[in-house]
Amino acid sequence: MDAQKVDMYLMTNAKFFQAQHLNYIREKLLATDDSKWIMIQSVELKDPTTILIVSILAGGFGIDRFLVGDTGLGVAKLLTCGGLGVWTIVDWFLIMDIARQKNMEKLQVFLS
Amino acid sequence: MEYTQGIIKDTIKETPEFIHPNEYEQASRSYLMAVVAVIAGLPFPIINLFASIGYYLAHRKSSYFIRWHCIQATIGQALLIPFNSVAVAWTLGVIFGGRGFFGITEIPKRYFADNATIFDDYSGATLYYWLYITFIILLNCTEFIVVIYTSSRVKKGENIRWFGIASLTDRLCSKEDRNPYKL
Repeated sequence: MDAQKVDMYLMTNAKFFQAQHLNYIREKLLATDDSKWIMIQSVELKDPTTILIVSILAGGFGIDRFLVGDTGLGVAKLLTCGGLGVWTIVDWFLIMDIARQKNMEKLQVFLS
Repeated sequence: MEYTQGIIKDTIKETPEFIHPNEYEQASRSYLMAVVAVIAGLPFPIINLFASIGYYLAHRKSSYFIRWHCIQATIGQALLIPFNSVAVAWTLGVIFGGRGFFGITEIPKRYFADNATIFDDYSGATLYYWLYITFIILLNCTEFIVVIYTSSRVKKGENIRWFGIASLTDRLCSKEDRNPYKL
């Protein structure tokens, strides 16, 4: 893929991924075929900041876990009232990285 | 036949593992878990341990540096559990002990006996009890300060090793590279 295109993609979407993975994404995108560009652009990425706000406001009900796609853990968190408050607090610190991780997994499908 | 005099020294040098600055912050948060979890479960001594274990489980696939600090924080919390549990059990014994089922079936002496004071109902609170509670408060305050100090130093990139716990952590933490996104 064209280097200019890849850099533009990274400039726009860097906040959706973990900083230590950006180099990996760049190298993989450069090696990816141009035909996948449309698909890569159309991948819906979750905003970690939005997820954090949801986690702070409705973390006790496991809504944040449902949003990032962890349905099983979301149900568990809902039934235990956010792990009696402890899980909710732990997730305030974890959820942004989890959202970035999930974004990476979504993108990984299209990387060569 | 070739002959080599002296000892052949191994010239291969171990290259230090690169740690991304972002990982410093993730590692430092493992210590903060124990501090922040106090908000949710202050009376229960095991809550901090659960928080640390939860944070470690979420970082199972992270780098060695993050996992190592998660395990050190968890072991640090686990070591406090016996001391704090004894304190909680002793306190419950003082409050409810010797006064019927959980202390609610018998009316406290101070309500009906002449010259009875509050100390007659809580006679289990001996000098040893108060000494132990003082020791526990000091121990927890020390741990609190050490954890916050360690967290701030690790965030700056220093590898703080706790005496005794660090060597145990070395043995427990796997050196396997679990990063699925490597070039």
